[in-house]
Amino acid sequence: MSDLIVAAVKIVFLALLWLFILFVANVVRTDMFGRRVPVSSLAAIPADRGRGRKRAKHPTRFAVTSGPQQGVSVHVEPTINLGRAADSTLLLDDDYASARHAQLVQQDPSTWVITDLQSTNGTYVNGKLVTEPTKVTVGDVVRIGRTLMRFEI
Amino acid sequence: MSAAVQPAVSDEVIVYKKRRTVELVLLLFAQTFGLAGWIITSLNLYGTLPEGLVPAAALWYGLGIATHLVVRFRLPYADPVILPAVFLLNGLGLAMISRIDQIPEPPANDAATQLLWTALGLSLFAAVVFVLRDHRRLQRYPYLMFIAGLVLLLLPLVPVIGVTSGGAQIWIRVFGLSFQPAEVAKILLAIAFAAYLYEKREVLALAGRRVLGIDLPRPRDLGPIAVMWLTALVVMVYQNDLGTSLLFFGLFTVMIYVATERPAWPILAGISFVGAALAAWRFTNHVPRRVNAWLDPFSDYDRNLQIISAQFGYAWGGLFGRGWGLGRPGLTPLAKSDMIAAALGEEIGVLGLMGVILVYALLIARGFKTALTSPDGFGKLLATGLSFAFALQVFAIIGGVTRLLPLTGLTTPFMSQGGSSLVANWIIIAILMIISHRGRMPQAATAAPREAGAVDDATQVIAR
Repeated sequence: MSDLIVAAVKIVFLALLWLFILFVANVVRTDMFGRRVPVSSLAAIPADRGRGRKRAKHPTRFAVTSGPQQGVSVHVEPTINLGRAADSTLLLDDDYASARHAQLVQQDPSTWVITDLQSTNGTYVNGKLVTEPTKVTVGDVVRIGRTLMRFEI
Repeated sequence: MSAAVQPAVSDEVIVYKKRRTVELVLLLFAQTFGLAGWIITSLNLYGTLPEGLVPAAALWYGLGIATHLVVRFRLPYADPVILPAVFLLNGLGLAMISRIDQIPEPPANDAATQLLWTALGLSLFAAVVFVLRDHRRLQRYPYLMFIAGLVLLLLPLVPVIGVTSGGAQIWIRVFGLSFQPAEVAKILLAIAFAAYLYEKREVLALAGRRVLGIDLPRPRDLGPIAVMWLTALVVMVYQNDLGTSLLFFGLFTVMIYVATERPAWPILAGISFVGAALAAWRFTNHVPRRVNAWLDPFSDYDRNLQIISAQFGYAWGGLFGRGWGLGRPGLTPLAKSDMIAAALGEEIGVLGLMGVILVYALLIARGFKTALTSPDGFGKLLATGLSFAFALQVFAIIGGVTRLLPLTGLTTPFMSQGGSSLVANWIIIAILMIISHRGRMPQAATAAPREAGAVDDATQVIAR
C-alpha cells in the first residue's frame, strides 16, 4: 500500500480511539448523579415476588427490603432473633439496632409474633411502635432503625 | 436511659438509568478496534485481508453480544462503561499478539490460543454472574479465603510443581499446563481482606494509642498486617518477584486505610515497604540490577537490552506510531507479555498508548464509582480493593515499560499474553459488575410499600 494510505489509516485509527474515549467520557458525565425521585413513584415488588397464587401462601423467608443490607434474607424458622449480636438469626448492621433487639416467634404457619427485647430505639410494625407482642404476617413491614424487613413467600 | 430514636428513612431515592443499549453500541464500537488492528496489520504486511476474516469477526462480535446479553438479563443495572472498556483492551491485546505472531518464520499462532483464553474468561464471567447473584455471599468465609489465597501465592515455591522462568518463580506446572496462581490469589485475598476488615474496622480504627500524632493500633490488631507484610517479603525474596509483592502489599494497605480512615496504616506500611525495599536492594542481586536498568540503562547494553529496545521502539514510533505491522516490536524480548505496552507504543504511537492508558483510567474510575454507590460496606471495600489492585498493576507495569519506575514483571491486565491473568481479570470484572448492579438498583424496587402512618409526631414536617 502507498505511504499516503498507510498514514491515513493510522490517523483514522487513532482518531476513532480518541472518539471512543470521548463517547465513554460523555456516558460517564451523563451518568454522574442519577435522578432523585420520590420512593412512591417506583413500583414496589409484591411480597410474593410475582410468583402468583400457584404456591402455598406461607412465607418462606424473612428479608431486608430497604437499608444498607437490602436484599439480605434468612429462611423462616420457628424463632427468628434480630439484632447486632453474632448469634442472631438475622444479623443486623444498623447503628440504631441493639445487640438483642427483637424476637419473632412462630404462632401458625403464616403468622409470627414479634416482641421487642427492651431495645434502645424500639421496633416498629407498619409504623407503630411495638409495646406489646404484635402479630406479623406477609405484607407487614418491620422496621428497626434504617432497616425495613418483611416476610416473603 | 436515652430516648428512643427513629431515624428518618428518606422519601427520595437516587435512580440510575439502566443504559444497556448505550452499552451495546459502545461495546460494538470498542470491539472494532481489535478487529481493525488485525485487518490493518495484514493489509500493511501482506497487502491482503487476513485469512478467515469472516468467521473470526463473527466469533469476536458473537462473544461480545453474548456477554452483553448475559449482562442485559442478569445485571440490568450494572455500569454501562465497564464492559466496552474491557473489550477494547482485550481486543487490542489480541491484535497486538497476532501482529507479533507474524514476526518469526513461519508465523506463530499464539493469538488463537489467547482468543481461546478470552472465550474461557468470558464463560467464567457468565458463570460468576449466574452463580453469584449477590456479592455479599462472598462475605461468609474470610479466613478460609485468606488461607487459600496465601497458599496459592506461595504455591510456586513448592519444589515439584513450581517453575522458574525469566528469573521469577511465579509459575506452577501441573499435568503439562502452566498457571500463575498469584492472579487467582489476588481475587481471593481481596475478598478475604474486604470481609475481615469490614468486620473489624471499628476495632482497628478506635482501639490503640496515639504516638507522635499518629493513631497506632493495638499490637494484637497488627497481626494480619504483619502476616501480609511477611508474605510480601517472602514473595519478594524467594520468588524474586517485586511486582507481585508490591501489588499484594499495596492492596492490603489501601483496603485497611479505606476501612479504618486512619493515616497511621499507610504510614506504617510505607515505612515497612521502604525498609524491605532497601534491604532487598542491599542483599539481593536482582533488585539493584532492576534499579540500575531503570536509572542508567545504557551502562550495560546486553543486560538491559529489553528496556533499551522498548525505549527505541517508543522513539521510532513517535507521536502517531509506525502503523500496525510496520514497527519492529519483535526486537524486544517478551514483547507479547510483559512488554506489550512497548509494542503498542511503537505501532500506534504515544497518542495510541495514551488512549489505552486513559481507557484503563476510565475503567478504574468506574470501579471506584461502583464502590461509592454501593450501599453496603463489604461491597464498597471489595470494589475499592479490586479497582485499586487493577490501578496499581497498570501503573507498575506501564510505568516500568515506559521507564517511569523500575521494571517489575507484572502482566498488563487484559492485554498481555497469558491465560491465568486474563481469566482472573474477567472474574474480577464479573464481581465488580455484580456490585455495580446491586448498588445502582433502586432501593425501592424491592422495598415493601411505605409504612402506613410512618411519620412520627416528633419528625413531622409542619406545612407553612
